[in-house]
Amino acid sequence: MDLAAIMPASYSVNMLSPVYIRSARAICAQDTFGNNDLPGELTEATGNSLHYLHPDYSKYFTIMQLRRMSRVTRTGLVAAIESLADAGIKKPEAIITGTGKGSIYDTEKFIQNILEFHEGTLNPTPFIQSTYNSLNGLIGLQYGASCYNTTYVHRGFSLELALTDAMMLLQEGEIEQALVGCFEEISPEHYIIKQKLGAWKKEPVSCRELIASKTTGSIAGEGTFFFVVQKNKAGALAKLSGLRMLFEPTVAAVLDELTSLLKEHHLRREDIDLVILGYNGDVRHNHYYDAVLAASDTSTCIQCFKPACGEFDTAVGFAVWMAAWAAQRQQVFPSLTIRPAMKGPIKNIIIYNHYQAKDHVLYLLQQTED
Amino acid sequence: MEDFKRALKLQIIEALSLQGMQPEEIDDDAPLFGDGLGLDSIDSLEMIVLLERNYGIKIEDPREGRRVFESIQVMADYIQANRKK
Amino acid sequence: MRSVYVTGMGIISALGIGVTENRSALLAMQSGISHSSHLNSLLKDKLPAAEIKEDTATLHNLLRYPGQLFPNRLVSMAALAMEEALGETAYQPGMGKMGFINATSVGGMADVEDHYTELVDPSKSEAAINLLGDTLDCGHCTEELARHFHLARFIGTVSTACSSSANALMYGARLIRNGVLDGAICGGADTLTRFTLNGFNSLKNIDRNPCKPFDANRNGLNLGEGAAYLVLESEEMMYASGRKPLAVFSGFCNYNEAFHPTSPSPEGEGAYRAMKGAIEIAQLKTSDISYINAHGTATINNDIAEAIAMKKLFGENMPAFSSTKCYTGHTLAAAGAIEAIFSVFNIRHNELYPVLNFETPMPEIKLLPLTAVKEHTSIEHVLSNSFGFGGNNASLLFSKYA
Repeated sequence: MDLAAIMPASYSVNMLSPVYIRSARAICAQDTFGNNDLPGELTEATGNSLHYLHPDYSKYFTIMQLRRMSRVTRTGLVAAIESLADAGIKKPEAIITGTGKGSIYDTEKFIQNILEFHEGTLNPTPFIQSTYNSLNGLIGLQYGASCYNTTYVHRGFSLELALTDAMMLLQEGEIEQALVGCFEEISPEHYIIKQKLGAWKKEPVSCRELIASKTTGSIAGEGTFFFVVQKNKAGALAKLSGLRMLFEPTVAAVLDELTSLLKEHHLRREDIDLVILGYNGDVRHNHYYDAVLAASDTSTCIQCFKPACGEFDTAVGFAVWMAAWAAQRQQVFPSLTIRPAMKGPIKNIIIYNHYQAKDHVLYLLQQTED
Repeated sequence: MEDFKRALKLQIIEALSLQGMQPEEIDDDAPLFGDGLGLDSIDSLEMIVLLERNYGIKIEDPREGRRVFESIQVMADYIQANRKK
Repeated sequence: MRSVYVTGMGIISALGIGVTENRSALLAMQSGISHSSHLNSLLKDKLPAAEIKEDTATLHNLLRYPGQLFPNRLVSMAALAMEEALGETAYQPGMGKMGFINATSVGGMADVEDHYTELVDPSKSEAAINLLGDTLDCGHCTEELARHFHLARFIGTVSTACSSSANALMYGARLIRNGVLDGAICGGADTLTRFTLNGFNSLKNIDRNPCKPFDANRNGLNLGEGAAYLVLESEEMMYASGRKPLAVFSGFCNYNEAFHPTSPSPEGEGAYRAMKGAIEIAQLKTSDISYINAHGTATINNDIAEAIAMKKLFGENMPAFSSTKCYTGHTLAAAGAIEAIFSVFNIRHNELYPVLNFETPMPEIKLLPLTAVKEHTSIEHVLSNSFGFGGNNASLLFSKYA
């Protein structure tokens, strides 16, 4: 059978229209939330974990609201509130999130309650909050936003699935803007579970030395990142032009995809001004990042981000936040530089990250055109 | 009875994670649900757990719970009459 | 926008393994709800559930090609449904881009919960148990299947509680309509777990008897387990793959009503808007709808809210409706896909399956669910509802391939 004869020649895939990032917020171990910036000095990990620097929640919520909010739904809702406020939006037209683990503390609490009370009468709240879409529900309630609302729970693809969904919604033409976010937390119990799977370093490591580390594993982290994406460019921080997901690819496949992403947007490698790589200090998986670094032009600025936020399913949210601000402010965070830039404006940014060498993602962000 | 009601309020504050609320802020006779304190069906289930763990009172039907949880006064009277511990 | 066709289906539920066994049970009005034997729960004699009869090892051994698939209950169930959905078709790259969108609400919890204490004890480390730690992630099962069935080009996992696989199907269909993919295998899987059984029991909405959807004396749901996947293809890919259209996936809508974390609004606003949206996308009228596979969990709140929504939308021209949760139990993240397959049965075979255990109409509203099997009736368009926690309402619409 001649497939080429059957498939229409004009038919092309993978062509979602670009969207604009109108606002970006980050809550993580660093003081990124207050000024939407990264302080010069990085906060150090304790016990190979980077834990949330929590905002003051009392100014956002009443006691009655807080009673239904777990640790990570608080960070999520606050990040959502400020993202929407930054964008001047009273009500989101879609609410889409991604998370690997959701509210892991609630999941653990309910498992423990089942054991402790022998499946007797149990508190329903941890069960309800352990549901992956509970934050989505709360954001909807907060804004009375009756609209499209969904949650992706796929490790290192969670945020990308959410962004792809938003890009489709904007292309489908029903709405003008959408709230997209990702959130994650690490608990002591989950740290142990992951430790047994080899996720963390056995020896204590300083964040500053993470990337240069010669051992296996990384440091644990947690973070919440929210964005307003919109169809038009008015007031946007950056343009999200392309997004690719690859599952368990070879290094060559990653490089091919990068080439095709650039080609699709008529870019040469020397047009890329900033590459943000997901280096996490795990020697088992560095070769992917090394290959993308080697394929970058020597004049391109290379940065990392996991020394700031640690490793977790949706850590790439930090890179998206960082890229959006780099495009807007035309500045990078010096503490995260692997190789400084040799040239001028930051117009084209590539993010490349993988989670446990399984879920690989490539982003192309661009400076908003005048 | 006053001491008991105050203790009960503290238990409710803890059970429902009403962090920062003081017992004095809950009126003995005000409705706990709806226009009063503003509790809902999930709180009702949480208070059913409280009654069982603290007082050995089992409530199977959530609709019965809502009658018992009308106000602090009604709840306190019910607990005193039915408590097993 | 491109049309999306259903070209394959695979299912496992308490009604049996495969579409044939499931359809036979529905036609015979045989419920899969009884007392579970594999579930490790103190409540299993008290709370009936719809459990798949086979134990996990048997399920794994029933696979035609178990390969390197992780042998936990979730993956074994899901892989069986996937084998059936794919059939003999091997998707070649030239046929177009094929994706895989899965859904689950608690991932591999069934196997994890029995070993949890050991998993989080730093002094214990047994390789086989440690590996279970990875299965708690919702993405684990998806990645196992993607690797095994060579569906790695675009994969994802959805979790919106009880509407999860309805949203997975919707996402797949939209990826096709927007030209991101040419085909997608979409569905979901959930096993019975102590976690969810106790969770719903803590909400006091599990019936101690077989559930009674849309009955005045309904008293809650029964949980179930299962997995179901539908192959969705664009017209171009369908020609390339040589598969036949079983139905058209003609409409869908996701609408969050932002009312309460767990309860539907009494007016069923979310249900109303979801159904209305699905009909509008398909460019149909309410009078075109032949039947509604309702969410119909038999909880006190859901059924009345859903009935009010249906009444508001359809008025005096109410199509036949029923719920199949009294057969399969509420399979949570799998429910949307299982009921999508039942909707395709309705259309393909021109038959409808009634509710079980119905005795007394709800006093609040004049609406009677279907109570007897209906055969040889023309079924053109079927709505399938899935509503979840957080106010997440999804409605799917399937139509006869003309």
